[in-house]
Order: sequence, then structure tokens, then C-alpha cells
Amino acid sequence: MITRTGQPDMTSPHGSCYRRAAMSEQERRPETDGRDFADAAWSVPSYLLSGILVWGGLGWLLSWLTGVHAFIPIGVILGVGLAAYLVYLKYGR
Amino acid sequence: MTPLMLVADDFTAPGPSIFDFPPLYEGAPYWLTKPVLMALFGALVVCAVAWSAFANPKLVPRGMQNVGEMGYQFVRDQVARPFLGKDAERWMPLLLSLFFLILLWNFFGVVPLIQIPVASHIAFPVVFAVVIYVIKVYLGIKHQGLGGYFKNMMFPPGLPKPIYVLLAPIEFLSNLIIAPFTHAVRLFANMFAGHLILAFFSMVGFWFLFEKLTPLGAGLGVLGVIMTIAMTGFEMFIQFLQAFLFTMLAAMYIGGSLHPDH
Repeated sequence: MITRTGQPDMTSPHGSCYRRAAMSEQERRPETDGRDFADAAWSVPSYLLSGILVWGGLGWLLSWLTGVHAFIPIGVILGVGLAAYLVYLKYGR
Repeated sequence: MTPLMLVADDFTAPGPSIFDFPPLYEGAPYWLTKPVLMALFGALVVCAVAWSAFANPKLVPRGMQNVGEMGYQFVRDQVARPFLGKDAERWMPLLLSLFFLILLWNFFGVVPLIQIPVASHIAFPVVFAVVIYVIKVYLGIKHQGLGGYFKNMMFPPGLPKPIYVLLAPIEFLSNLIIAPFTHAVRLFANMFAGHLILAFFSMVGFWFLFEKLTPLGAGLGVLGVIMTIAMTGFEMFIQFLQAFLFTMLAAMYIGGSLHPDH
């Protein structure tokens, strides 16, 4: 087993953790890495805010129509959850 | 606490009114104020710097050309290439001018006598954000088609249909309304708050050391001066960071419209 530094691996009986690290670094493409990360980092707040506004707004509309105020927090929480799910779909998979 | 409060009883912290400027001279149009003048001055300086650096380029760069090329390389390698890839060079004129102009406008916040970050008036970042927004939507429709643009934006592939009903409105709002809004507000709010913080600490220093010098207040005044110096350094970092971020997001939006595939 050869480690990343080219030395024989003495620390791990299987050496798998070292090989794994080296492979994952190869798999990563440095030229798109920054872009994907920045994309995700700057989209998350925008998505969360949108989720709250869309579904919280719908909840507000429902509460205004029906008089049941519980629709507002339900909508807001649903919106945050959906936005988090959307972020996971786009960047987490 | 009591003696301090007695000393401080007519100290008033600077508020949003420090951003209000009268017209430059008697009879000037109401919009011709110091921030507008500084915005024009900044644009002229950027033009002059770009001209002196790039108008007559030498193979071995010297002086201004060196400075200009360093800035160009920074924007190209850190901002344009990560998001635009092979299209980076085409968008460099826009991104470079945007970066340098915003950087200079922000930097005006700590230049003695000028001391107003232009972007602390929200109209200025809004104009930039609208320009980028128009470019983003135009390029998106041009490169992906009208239907394709909205389809790629709102319907990430590979999901059961009912999920789209839940997620598409969030995508729409996020991409077309919230994103450009935060794009402008991020720059504005950082400059606004930073300027207010600097004004507050320098006011504390000035008030307790010059206006109302008392044995107890002097320490507070010294603290105000120290904080003013420290926050000026911090503010310069933020000014650079916000210019970088604004340009980076512009490149990100343009890149996203050109290549939707991720």
C-alpha cells in the first residue's frame, strides 16, 4: 500500500482511508469546484427566503380567507422545509 | 454609571441623516450632491486608470500597466474563470470595470475629505444589479430559449411531478426576484452600516476628547479613537470583499444563464 506521499503505508492495516482520500481528490475537478461551492453558498439564503415568502405568503392568504391563523406558521415552516429540500436536490445529491 | 451618563447626556449618535447631502452649491439641481459627484469622479478615475494602463501596452509591463494587469489577472482568475470558463475573456470588460468602479466607490468611504461610500445610497447598487439582471435574463432566453430558460430554472430534472408544484414557485421567486434584490442590498447595506459604524466611533472620539473633555469621558474618547482606527482597517477589508462579491455574483449569474447544466 502506497500513501499519498509515496511512502509505504505503516499506519493503517488496510490503507483504505489514504487511498480513498487520494481518489476523491482526483474525482474532484478543481476548475468547477469553486463555482459549485459558490453557487450553493450564495443560493441557499435566496432559496430559504423564497420558500418562506411563497409558502408563508400562501399560508397568510389562507388564514386571511378562513380566519385560521395557524396557516401562517404552517406555511412558513413548510416553505423553509421545501427550500432546504430544494437546496439538497440541487447541490447535495 | 451615573457620572458617565451625566457626561453623555447630550451626545447624540449619528443616524441615517449623515447620508443626506444638500445640493453642491446654491441653485444646483437637487440631485447634484456629493455622492453623485463622487460617483462621477470615481467613474472618471477608473477610465483614466484603465487608459493609462492599457491604452499603450508594452511587452514588458511597467508602472500603471503593471498595476492594471495585476487587477485584470485577479478579476480574471478569481472572478471570471471559475464561473464563465472559456467565455471569461469575453466578459472581462464588464467585470473588470464593475469591480474597479465598485471598489473605488467603496474605498471613498475611508478617503479623508471624501468619506462617503457611494454605494451607501441604494440607487447606485440598484443600477448595477438591474444591469446584471437584464443581462442574465437576456442571455438565459437567448441561449436556452424562452421556454427552456424557465424550464431549466424552475424544473430541475428527475423529480416526480407533484414535487414541482411545491418547488417551482420557490425557484422562480428565488432566481428572478430575491437574487437580484439581495445582489443590490448586500452591497448597499454593508456600505451603509460600515459608514455608520465609522461615523459613530469617530463621533465618540471627537465628542469626549474635544467637545466635552472630562476626566471620566477622556478614556471613552480614547477608546473611540482606537475603535475608529481599528474599524477603518476592517472597513477597508469589507469594501474590498463587497466589490469582489458583487462582481463574483454578476459572473455567477451570467455563467448560470450561459451554461445551465448543473
